[in-house]
Amino acid sequence: MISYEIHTFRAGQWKADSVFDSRDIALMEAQKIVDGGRYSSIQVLEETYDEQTNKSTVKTIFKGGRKVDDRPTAKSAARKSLAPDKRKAARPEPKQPSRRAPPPKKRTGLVLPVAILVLIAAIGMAALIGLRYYT
Amino acid sequence: MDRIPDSLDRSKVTENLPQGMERRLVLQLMAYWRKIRENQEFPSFVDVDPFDIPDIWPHCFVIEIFRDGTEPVCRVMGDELARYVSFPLVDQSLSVVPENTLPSVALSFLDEVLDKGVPISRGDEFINHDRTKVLYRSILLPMSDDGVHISGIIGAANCREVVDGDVDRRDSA
Repeated sequence: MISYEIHTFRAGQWKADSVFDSRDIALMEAQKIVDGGRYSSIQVLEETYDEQTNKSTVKTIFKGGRKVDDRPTAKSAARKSLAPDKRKAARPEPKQPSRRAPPPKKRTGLVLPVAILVLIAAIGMAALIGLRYYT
Repeated sequence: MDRIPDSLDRSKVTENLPQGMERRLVLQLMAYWRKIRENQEFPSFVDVDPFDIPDIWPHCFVIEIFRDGTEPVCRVMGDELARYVSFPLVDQSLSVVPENTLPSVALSFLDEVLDKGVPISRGDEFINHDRTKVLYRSILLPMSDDGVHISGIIGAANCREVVDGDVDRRDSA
């Protein structure tokens, strides 16, 4: 027995939309859904059930929509399942290090030139005063 | 509409005409169901207006589903379907629907629809009371009054008799 299931990608997951036993009708309906633009991705799965072996084989016969690769892969599924924990472990307080880093660099960058200018000015003033008294 | 030439094989005409019509019936009701559903999981019977689908309403039926397990009851049966049964089916439980009739075969996969919660369309054939092979196609679509639980089914079905020498095409039904 062969059946054709239309699946749409909604709320971050694939969901069954409708089932047909006619490939033509399933594809016609799938194309109408694509043309409607309601869902980002849709696909049509052909499921062949063998009553003797009690096994089903499924293959994708149609893909459509704005993003064809919204189907979760093994990597993306693993990333999604581990991401929250990893974020908590690796970055407990992400804002603090970034706040502390810039100011010290700015202070060390300005202090030395200012000190040099002050020193030069002081030497200059001392020279002027000395010349006034000795001349 | 042009007159059909006398030389044309009429069996081919009857073979071609129902195919598109039957497919359109299923897809028309499907499109209407999607339209009234909007962003919900299931549409409500409150939003169904037969005047929106005058062409296919005679082929439609409505079944009420009870959450307590009581046998479903037919609430609406279109005229084109009712003529296949010798007595009214409205307000009757599905158990009284005679076998090997269009209403009976059209509802044969009702449990699958209730289980999966999605529209399902199937076509097949059956031998009616006068031993004529009949090809049919039907569609069952879940409805809900609370948006969560299926409280009913709206469906449609039509069929055509297989004439001697006609090609058996299930997709045509």
